[in-house]
Amino acid sequence: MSTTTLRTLTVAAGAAALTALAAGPALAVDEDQLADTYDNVRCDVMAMPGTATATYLDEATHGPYLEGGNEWVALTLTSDDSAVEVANPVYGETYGSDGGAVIREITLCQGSAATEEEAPAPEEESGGGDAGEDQAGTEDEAAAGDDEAAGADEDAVQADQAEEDVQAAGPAVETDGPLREAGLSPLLVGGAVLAVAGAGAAALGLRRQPQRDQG
Amino acid sequence: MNARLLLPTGLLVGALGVSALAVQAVGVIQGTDGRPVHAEGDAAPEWVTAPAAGLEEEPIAPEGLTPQGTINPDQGEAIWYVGSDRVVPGQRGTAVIAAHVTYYDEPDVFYDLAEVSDGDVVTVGYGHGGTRDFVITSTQQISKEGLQRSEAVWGDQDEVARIALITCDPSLGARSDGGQKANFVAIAEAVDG
Repeated sequence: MSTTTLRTLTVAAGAAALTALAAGPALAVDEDQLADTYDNVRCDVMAMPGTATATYLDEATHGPYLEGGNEWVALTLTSDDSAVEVANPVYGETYGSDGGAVIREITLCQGSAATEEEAPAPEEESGGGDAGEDQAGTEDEAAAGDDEAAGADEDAVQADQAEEDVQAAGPAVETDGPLREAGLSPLLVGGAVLAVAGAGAAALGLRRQPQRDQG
Repeated sequence: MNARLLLPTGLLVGALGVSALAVQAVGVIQGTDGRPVHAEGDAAPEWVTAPAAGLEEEPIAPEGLTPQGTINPDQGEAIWYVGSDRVVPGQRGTAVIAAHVTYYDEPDVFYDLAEVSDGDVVTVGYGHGGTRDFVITSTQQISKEGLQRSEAVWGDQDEVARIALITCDPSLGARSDGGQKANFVAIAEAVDG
């Protein structure tokens, strides 16, 4: 086989590799990154069959997957061209893909709040003592009361906003069924092409190596 | 190309290919891990009849969400949905019954659901032998996104025993991947409230 042919074969294999990687879903949420914020992080990736563009987090369905005192800390909806990441997804909510794209897989990550090192006790200017603590407590309450009064209007606005946000929500109903028996996916075809091309190139390399050694 | 580089390059490319195949295999395996929630008992509904939709004592089974968070019955199966605070068909509140309109391009259980119209009767049969009649009060073609926010289907109400019969609908066309953009929803309410 000529050098040109070998070069062509290698370039083709590289192109096939890039194609297969591009055909795969976008990278999901980074588990290691979550581990910086949460303990006991675990992410489950689930392939999404059909043409769903949204997913619904349901306690009865997803709750049993939680381990120990974990809670859901991230949800990623991965489509062909994009991925939507949701922090701290909650039950009863529907989460949709970007621009209504078909979701290829979802990644649900769970974890528990990281155990923080015990915060040092705040220094007390009064030097401590029950009476001092009581007084400080009273001052804090008074200050909190002022804050409450000042923020009353803001709270009212937020309450109104929350009320407006309350909306019926349910899961996607995927009742159109697949169009045909599942065909070969690009990832499957790309993977097979790569495996064969790689094996061929490796075999050629093995054959040529002794020739070079002898020459 | 240097023959010395050919061997490691080939091995690398081959490994990439095997990795891609492994990812595909894992996806397939994980996608089959369903854990639907089931409800049982004599009072559980067993079948539904809707003459206008060509349904005659069509068996219905309780089923929850797929692990992917969607309602997606099996081929040839009608389900009543047990999640999202929906009720058993016949109880006060809103129940959801769903089935495919087509599957592999062949008509499925709810193929003729869109034929029902206001005033048509839907009957649900129960394990203890009793039945309950419902009357269609509205029908609607609705986008899949719209259905997820439908007050009639997902809203909280306990004034009447209501059933939302849901399937897919080709009225809004298909997406580029062949999936339909819309659902068809028929709301039925119990004759005796």
